[in-house]
Amino acid sequence: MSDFGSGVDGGGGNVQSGPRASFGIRFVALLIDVVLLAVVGFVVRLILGNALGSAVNLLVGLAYYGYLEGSPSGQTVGKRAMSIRVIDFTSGGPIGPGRALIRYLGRILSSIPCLLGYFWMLWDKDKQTWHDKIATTVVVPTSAYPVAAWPG
Amino acid sequence: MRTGSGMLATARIDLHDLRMAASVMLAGAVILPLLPGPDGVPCPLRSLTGIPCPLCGMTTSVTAAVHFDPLRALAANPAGVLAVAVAVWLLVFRHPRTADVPVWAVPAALALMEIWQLTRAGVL
Repeated sequence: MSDFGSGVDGGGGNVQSGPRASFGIRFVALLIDVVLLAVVGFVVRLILGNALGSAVNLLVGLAYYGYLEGSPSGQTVGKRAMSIRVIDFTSGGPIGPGRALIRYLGRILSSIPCLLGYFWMLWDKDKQTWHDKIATTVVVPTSAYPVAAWPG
Repeated sequence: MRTGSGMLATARIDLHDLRMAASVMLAGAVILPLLPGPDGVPCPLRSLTGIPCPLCGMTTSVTAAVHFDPLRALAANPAGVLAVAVAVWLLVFRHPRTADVPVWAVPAALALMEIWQLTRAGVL
């Protein structure tokens, strides 16, 4: 449907070379999502008990990130609150649920060495975390890559 | 942005982001002992495989360094003392917006830290 902003494609060839979301903003967005999922997770565990609850929470997390980051807006609740979004590194468009799922699994890899994959964005030239690299995404401010509707 | 080539290639990093991360790290280290529960963060890699990751002991080390306990900090992970020193330096002094850092610097630092970990674990 409408153009969700292919953003700036200045001379860098075939990747998006516009601005990136900063560490601080992404961190706050993550906190919002984590708190949201923790509250939901708490309620789920209350209702279903610990074992089944944990299993369901895993699926809830998968569905949450897969659906929302894979949507045309590329925004979870936290990302929407902080005005940032996930886009394809090359096209600048949405990544779809399949790749969003891969990105979610990539977060696990990012976490294994004590969240090193997350911190990696601090010195990465494209400000990509490991899960960004795995899914070929970048996280950008909506000021440069506007969203038409949420989740789209 | 990457300049140079090969071994001398540098990456332009955003010092504003790094300073933000430094603040979070220092603030976290101050607050952590005040929170209930254990102070450590279990290393997922070590829990899964038994192999320590380069960052094992960093929470203890940074917390100890921030609370002026250098011996404990060094024993937990010497890189924690360095991290705190760099964080303070980044925050106290004025810096330009970006810095050009050699691309090999971070992997090299992590490799050195891992060598220290494996030596301490008796693997090396």
